[in-house]
Amino acid sequence: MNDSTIPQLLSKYLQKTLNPQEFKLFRAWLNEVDEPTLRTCLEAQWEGLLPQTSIEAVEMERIFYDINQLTSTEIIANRLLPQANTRIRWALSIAAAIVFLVLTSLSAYLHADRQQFIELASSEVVIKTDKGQRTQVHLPDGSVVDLNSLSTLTYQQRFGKEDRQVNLSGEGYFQVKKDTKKKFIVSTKHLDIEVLGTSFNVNAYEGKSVFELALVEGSVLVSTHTLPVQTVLLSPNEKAVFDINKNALMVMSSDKNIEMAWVSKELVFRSEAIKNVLARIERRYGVTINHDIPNFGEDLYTGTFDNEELLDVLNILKTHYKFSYKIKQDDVWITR
Amino acid sequence: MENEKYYIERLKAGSHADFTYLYERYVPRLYSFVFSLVKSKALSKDIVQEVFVRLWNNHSTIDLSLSFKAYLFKIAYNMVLNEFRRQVNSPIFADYMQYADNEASADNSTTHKVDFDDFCRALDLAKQKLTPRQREIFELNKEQGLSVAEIALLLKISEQSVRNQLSIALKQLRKQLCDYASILLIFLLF
Repeated sequence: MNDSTIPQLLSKYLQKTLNPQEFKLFRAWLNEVDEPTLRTCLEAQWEGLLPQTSIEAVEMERIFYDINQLTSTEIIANRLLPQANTRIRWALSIAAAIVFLVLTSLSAYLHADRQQFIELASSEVVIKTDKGQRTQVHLPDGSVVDLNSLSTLTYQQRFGKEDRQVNLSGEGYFQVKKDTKKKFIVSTKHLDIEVLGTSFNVNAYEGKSVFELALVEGSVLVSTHTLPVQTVLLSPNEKAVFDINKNALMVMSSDKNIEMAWVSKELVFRSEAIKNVLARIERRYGVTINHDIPNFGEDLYTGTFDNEELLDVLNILKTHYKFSYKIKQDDVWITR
Repeated sequence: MENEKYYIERLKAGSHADFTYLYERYVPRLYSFVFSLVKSKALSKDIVQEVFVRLWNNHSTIDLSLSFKAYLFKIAYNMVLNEFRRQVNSPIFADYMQYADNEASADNSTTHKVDFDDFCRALDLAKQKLTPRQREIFELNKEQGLSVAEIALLLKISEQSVRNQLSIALKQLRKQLCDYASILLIFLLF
């Protein structure tokens, strides 16, 4: 690649746009160039910038307001010792989940000659969440699983002896402790996910025709149960999507922020399209939201919901957008 | 420029008033810089916000040996770099570039920049006008990067079928997007 064209391409990209051929070159350069060179280029561009009006006063004020909100909150939080608050929230979320310890006895082995081998009862641990609940599970090896609503995580007592295997139905965000000697395997109805140590999100609600695994760090091997067995190796910021109707396993790029959004306790939206807001609300509360208002989904919303009930959330949105809604079991119907 | 040192020293000492002053002085430049890289208003606002939040939260450790401009760059760099790379590598970013390129050459008076988010939204709306199959093929090819051959295999139809549908879909989308652009322009004039 001709070095002298790069500054020109970069300039053109920054000021206007590039035509398709130029863009291909530009993108290739961006992905191949070494860090220090790139930093120098960008720093040069930045240093060369003169004062200008690129942003409206109103916008500037709004951003500044948000900055102050964010920074003063942190100061206040320090003073109020957030420890107590998080502990209470924590205890509530554990109480909300149900833990079963099921004892089942394995068959006893009797060795004919001298020794008697008796397998002790194998116990199975089952953690289940109800609709709208979430909980965090600490596995014996130190791995952590954040379980979303209507999900079940199961593992055997022999977990961690030779390998680490869990069963998942629903949705969970896994942070797996690295152990190269013991494979970590998540089994869902249709997929097996084998990892060494990494963070990823699995969405495997039964009754849905698409199962998804999104990877944040590390690498995983995903294979299907059904024949013909399909296998894919995932890298970070990719996701594997399995469509059971088509029996097709595909790799797509994933947006980490949207995938992991449900893990944190708040719902924060900054100029987010309503359709995305509704999608996140659906995942958080385990409901399906339907509406027939044209262009409603494209409106932008900024706001925060902090562990509120679904009705509170809907009422807040209702005030903003002047709609009415009905709830029947898991379905929410929004109309104007 | 020389007096700026005093503002920064006072900021380091914890003066929120000086923080405000420096914010007003540098945010337009920072926003402009970030936007020119990531081509998204929403993303640029988020990054600018995050940079200044970090600046304030770590004000006591400001490096006085750097110019404020350089110091801002230092804070912003990693964030901006990640988003910049991500945007450029987005599946339909190349299409956005082409769309913006067409718009720029068609109408030189357009000072309004159609950002990437606008384009994606327009594309979403335009996609709704396609038949389910056209939409599926478009997404598989343009957003997931599958080749015509791979799509034919996946959907169990002929490659010619895929090519036909794709061509119709692209034609439709181009038409929709052009209509959208002119509507955008009309709203701007009023």
